[in-house]
Amino acid sequence: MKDFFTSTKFKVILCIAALMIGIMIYAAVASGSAVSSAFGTILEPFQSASQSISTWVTTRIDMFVNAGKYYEENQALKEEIARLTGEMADYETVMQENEQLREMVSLAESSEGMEFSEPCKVIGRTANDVYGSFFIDKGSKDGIEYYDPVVTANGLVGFVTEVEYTYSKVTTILSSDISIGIYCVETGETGVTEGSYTLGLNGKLRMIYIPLDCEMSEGDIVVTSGYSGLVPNGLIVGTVGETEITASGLSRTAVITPTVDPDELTSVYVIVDFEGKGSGYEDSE
Amino acid sequence: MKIQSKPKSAGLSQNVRTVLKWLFYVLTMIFFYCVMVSGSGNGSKALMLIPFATAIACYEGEIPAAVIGAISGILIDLATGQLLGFTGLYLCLFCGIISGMFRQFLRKNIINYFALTVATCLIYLYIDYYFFYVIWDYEGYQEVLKARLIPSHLKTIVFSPLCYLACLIAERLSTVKRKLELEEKSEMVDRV
Repeated sequence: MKDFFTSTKFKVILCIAALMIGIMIYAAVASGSAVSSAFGTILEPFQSASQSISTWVTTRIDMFVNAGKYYEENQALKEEIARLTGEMADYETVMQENEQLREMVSLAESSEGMEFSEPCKVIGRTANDVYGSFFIDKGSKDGIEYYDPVVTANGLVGFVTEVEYTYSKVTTILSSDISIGIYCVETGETGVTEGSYTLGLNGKLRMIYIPLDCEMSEGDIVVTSGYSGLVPNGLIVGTVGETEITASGLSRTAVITPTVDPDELTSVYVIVDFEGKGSGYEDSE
Repeated sequence: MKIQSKPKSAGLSQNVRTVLKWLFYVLTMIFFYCVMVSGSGNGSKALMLIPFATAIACYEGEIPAAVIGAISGILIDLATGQLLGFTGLYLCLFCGIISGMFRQFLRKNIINYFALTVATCLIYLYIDYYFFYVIWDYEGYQEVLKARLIPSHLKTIVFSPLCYLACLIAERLSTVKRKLELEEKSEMVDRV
């Protein structure tokens, strides 16, 4: 063994190890790495094909395995339809409430100034990531930039945190690395999102800095405030769960259940431009 | 009278077999990478590139083993979203050492392989947990150990013998079997 440590082979291994250290340092100090970009470009078609096969196989297996469960669900849904048909009498009222809600969250208005990317396919997921970050098949060649918001029809998913030429990485709003301003549609109370590993494992996040006398209740909807200039105003983030007073006793926190489950996504949209984009930074400068 | 070493059968040449073996290694590594990044995002996933790299280290020289370890590590870094080169450095060193140990001290069998793979996984589990969770001290980081890291490494260890068997078969198929033959009696040879 002593001979091995003095041999050329051992020196070559040390050189490779030094190369790895160099790559590690370069990756740590550079926002984008040429090595990851090169590997990613080569592997992207394999990832895409693998994800398609995985989705196809999972769907087919699910159909066979859960046939009984789907039959029961079908029966339950038929009963639900019958019940909903009975509630059609309240249709006009519901419509009015819906219109009021739309006005409150200003979704229609906030969507006007937005420019969306083409539909982005989820081509891979970060293994063992508690926060459910994933890769999409659009990159800098498609106009995607760092920190562009990622959404579905149901609401905000997260932000683009790595952009390569052909693909990008999306970090979800569950992550402890991301905090955005949000407010409750019903009460107007504001707060900031905060992720944690404990909540992330359950697919939830936390709203912090809520006033002690808040009037929020479970089921209320929270949307983005858009103050930072990172994300448009009025994108749905989730619904309010239980609230509690912080240990300091100065404010409250609320558990938020996002409207979008990142683990089940197959396609998303990136908001590449919107009114007020970057305004928060300009103000701070 | 001379003894000659000849191939047993006229199949593929040694060079072709070696190329096919390395092609198998590369394709299997890409397959394991795709398995890691595919499917649903919830739940833990096995890091099969670790046992595969150690299995290759059993049968290859120190330098090829270190290179394979480095590439496998980079693929793991890409799949898990970690600092690029972190796992690459770790596996580069460990695969080189494992290869050296199998050449110098250890017999090539599944028990030794399994013991070294378990050791590699456990040390990696510790440094991964320490450098990416403990020192940052985010809320609830201990949960990650129970919910993600330990199940992931348990799956990795449980399925690691399959990697050894795959590499064993690849190694045997890639080696041309030779037989020893006695040359025919020659009249020119002066027999005593």
